[in-house]
Amino acid sequence: MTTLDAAQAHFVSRFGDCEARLAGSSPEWLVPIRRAAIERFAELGFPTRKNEAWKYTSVSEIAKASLDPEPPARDGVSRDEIRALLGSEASQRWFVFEDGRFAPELSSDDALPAGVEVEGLAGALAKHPELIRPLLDRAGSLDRPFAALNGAFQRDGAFIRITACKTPQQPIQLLFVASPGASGRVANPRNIIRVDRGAKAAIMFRYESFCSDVYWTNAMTQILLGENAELDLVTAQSESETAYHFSSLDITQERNSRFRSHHISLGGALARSEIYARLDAPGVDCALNGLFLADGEQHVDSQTTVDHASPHGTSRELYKGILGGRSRGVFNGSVLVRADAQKTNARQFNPNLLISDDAQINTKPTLEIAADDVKCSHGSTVGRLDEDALFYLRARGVDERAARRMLTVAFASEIAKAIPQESLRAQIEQLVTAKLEQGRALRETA
Amino acid sequence: MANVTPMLEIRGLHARAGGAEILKGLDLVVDSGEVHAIMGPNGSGKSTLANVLAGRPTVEVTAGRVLYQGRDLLELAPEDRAKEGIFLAFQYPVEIPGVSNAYFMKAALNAARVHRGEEEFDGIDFLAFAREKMKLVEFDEMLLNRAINEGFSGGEKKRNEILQMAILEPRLAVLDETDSGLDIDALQVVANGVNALRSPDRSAIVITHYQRLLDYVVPDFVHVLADGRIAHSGGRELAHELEKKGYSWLAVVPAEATAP
Repeated sequence: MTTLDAAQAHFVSRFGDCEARLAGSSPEWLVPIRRAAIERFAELGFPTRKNEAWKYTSVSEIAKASLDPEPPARDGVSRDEIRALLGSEASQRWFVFEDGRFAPELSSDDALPAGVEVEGLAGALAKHPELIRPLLDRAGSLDRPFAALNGAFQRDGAFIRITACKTPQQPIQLLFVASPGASGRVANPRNIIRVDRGAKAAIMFRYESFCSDVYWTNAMTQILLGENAELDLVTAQSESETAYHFSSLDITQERNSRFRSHHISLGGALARSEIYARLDAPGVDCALNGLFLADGEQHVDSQTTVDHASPHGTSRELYKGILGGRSRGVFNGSVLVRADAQKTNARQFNPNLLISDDAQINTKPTLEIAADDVKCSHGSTVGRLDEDALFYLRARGVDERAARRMLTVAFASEIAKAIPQESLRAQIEQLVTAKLEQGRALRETA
Repeated sequence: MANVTPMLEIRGLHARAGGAEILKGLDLVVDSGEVHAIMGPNGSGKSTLANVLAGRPTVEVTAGRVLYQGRDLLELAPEDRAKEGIFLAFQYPVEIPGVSNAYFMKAALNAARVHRGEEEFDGIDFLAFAREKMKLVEFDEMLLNRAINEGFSGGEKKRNEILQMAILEPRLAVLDETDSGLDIDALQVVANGVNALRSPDRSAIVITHYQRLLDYVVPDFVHVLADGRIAHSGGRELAHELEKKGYSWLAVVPAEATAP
């Protein structure tokens, strides 16, 4: 039996052990959904590198770690620790999730404006089965093994519903923390975001950690945007250096809706993000912006699919990679334009900056077009810091290290600048700058 | 009493760039308070000289020495030369998207101030200081908040160089064909910038193809650089002569090199 097979068997067998506990207080209808998901996972298993989507990312380290899919008892993190972690952002409203479970006592309790609901998914299941059930039911058919694994072991996460906000509101900020007790375990947060017809929202997901041991965050988020709805989703992943972080994001967009994802990946020993955007109604606009910044031995993998299945859709994708140390980056972005999707306008670009000799990127932008009246472009570049620019800055008295940092921050800045909400943009700028300043990325090149 | 140590002393300088030997035994002494013009045909080594002084890593000094205020200049990193008061106005200023002009200039000025043991300027101090200098070089404040040279016209880029020079107040300014491609108004701005810095304890090296700039920035000495060496030196009148006759009459110019 290979390591991968053993890991697969381990999780399937653990499901048997804890199925009854998982069922606990959740509604009856979730039982067959979880079961379908573990069956799907059992079919798919841990992917080998022969699988095209996993060609450059090995999961054998995770398989070997033999992690426990049940989260620890909830007593790890205090309010003070959350406050210290958030620093100057602590005064804002945050919804906190510990090891994938909603932690109301760590969250701000200020009242939400009318038309905005935020709570734990476990609590929302009974209230909104008609909204949640079809989404949870869908995941069993996925071809992504770890989304299926999430489906089997899901027990909580975020449920966000925006019904009536037409004017821009304060961003809704969610903080997902791994507690010290997360060591050796898997958290499977399952998040659902629903923005109703004509409503607007900005949401931030921040992933942070109090655990310096091996753990695995295996998140799955599903988004449904109603007609003419608009959403900015900012994801900032700063897991600890020992963590595995997988996140799957599925977006379904109805007519004339506008979605923008801003995905910032900074942490984790191995981090992989999978985004699947289905543009299934006419006039939909979808922007996927991403920044991955890795150093040391980090491995960061970004997989995106934009599926144009309806006419007059627009998609713009810009993923920037900055890789230092001995880090590895993977970008696999595909844009599909189906036969019905006439008048599609799709752009995709993945520029990468290597700031050390030993860093590597494998980038594969792909475009598959079955319609004939479309405007599409795609491409990627891999480069180093511009030596002329570096000399220009130094010739004015800026130290080499500061000059390198300035140029690297500048390369990254385009992604943060695309975030319309100033407070979210400032947070991202601060996280990126801190990673560049405190991280090993630039030191290794100086 | 005049400072006895020259501002700049270059002896037997040989340098390679782009795989070829460009400077072949150049000697030049610039004293404090002097402005030297360097003219010469394309390919004679003018820009290479400027790059040696600023410390561009792609130019390799193979022989000779360069003393700046009596100290070995070639030992210093480019940023340390800048902090010690050397300024190169680039022939082709670089566009740097994502770094604001104001942020960059404040960082540059503060690097020099810290080096001199002075207090750093905060944003307000810097802006007040920069505004005075912007008036001097007729620089549009809008450009200060844009990314460095990004989308600037040729003239705006050159003005930006002169603004940086005005802000950094160098001991030794080296202008590498800053006048090329400028109309007469912009040329006067450049000249104002250089003349404003003229003082007994500052010097400038003005590299140019044309005598026109030297009507506004009157040099103390004019040198002709040919085939990697100073071939001829004279007073300001030499520039007029070169304008009229070209370089061929000097007979030191290889047959293939011609004046523009």
